[in-house]
Amino acid sequence: MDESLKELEDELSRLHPARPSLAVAARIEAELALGESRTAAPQPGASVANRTRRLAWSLCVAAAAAAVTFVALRQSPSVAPLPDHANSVTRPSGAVTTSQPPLSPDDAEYRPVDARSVFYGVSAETGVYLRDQTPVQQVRYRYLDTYTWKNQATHASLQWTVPRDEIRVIPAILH
Amino acid sequence: MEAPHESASWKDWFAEHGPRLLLCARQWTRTLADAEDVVQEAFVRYWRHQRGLPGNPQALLLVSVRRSALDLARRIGRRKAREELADGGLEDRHGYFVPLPGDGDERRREIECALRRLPDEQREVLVLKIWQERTFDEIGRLLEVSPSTAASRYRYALISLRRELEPLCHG
Repeated sequence: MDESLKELEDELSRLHPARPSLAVAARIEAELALGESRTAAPQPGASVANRTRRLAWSLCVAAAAAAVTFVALRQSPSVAPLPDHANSVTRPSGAVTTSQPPLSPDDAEYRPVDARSVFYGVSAETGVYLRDQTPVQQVRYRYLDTYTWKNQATHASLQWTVPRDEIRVIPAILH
Repeated sequence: MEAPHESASWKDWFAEHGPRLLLCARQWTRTLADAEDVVQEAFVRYWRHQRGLPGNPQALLLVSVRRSALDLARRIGRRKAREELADGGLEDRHGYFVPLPGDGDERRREIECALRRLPDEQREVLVLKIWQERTFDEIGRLLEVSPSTAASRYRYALISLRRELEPLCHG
């Protein structure tokens, strides 16, 4: 190898890689402590960060589902819970939306692995006045949210699709 | 190299070798956060289950880090690709190396830019050779290529880097 490449090698080797963030060490410490206090064998890949993310993710799913239910009940007076399905509401389109995901992260071995949202329509609705008498136009954005959970042990997957309407208000002049 | 099981604690060992592991992980992941997750996962797995095994701990950890990175890439690859299309790409702007004092840091940044422009397969060999001090045999085994291929990639990487950096030196 010629001299200039050797010099370049030396120069590179004098650079010190950046340290991992303090959070990584803290997470490792927590995970090792968790492992010591647990008798069951740890699951590869189930890091504290990942679990935290999964928990946050499932909370988001639950919150989104709750928001859908809330919006549906608020925006559609005709919508009412079915007597036989305490956790379900019938959408105007006839689709059935559960207010909770079918499984919680603690159930079985299913974990959320994917979430996607398809936007499929937008429509302007009637103008209304807010409490402070500001005139606004309601715009309804329509989505289909699809969630996928997977069983890490059996690789079975569970997927469900939830219609979601998002009502946005924009300033308007009403006549 | 000192084996982790001989260390007083994992913290000492991680403080010394964590940065180099992270640098390697960053060659196989898209973001610093992903690289840190991968290092964490690999290190915990190693510390719990593999530190009693014979052999070079750094080599075992490298295998573990790479496997975790590939698993992660498979899990999130499609989603990331979609996100990148949507937001124009995930550029990891965190530095690879510790900043240097004074004018030296300008040179450090130039080297980092040149490194990032290298083809992935050359950069990973360079990182393993320079900052992990692996032999070409070890690199070849890890990357599943022949030692001569690893050596060629290393040489090409150095030549490319020199070509990128020379105008800056003489300009």
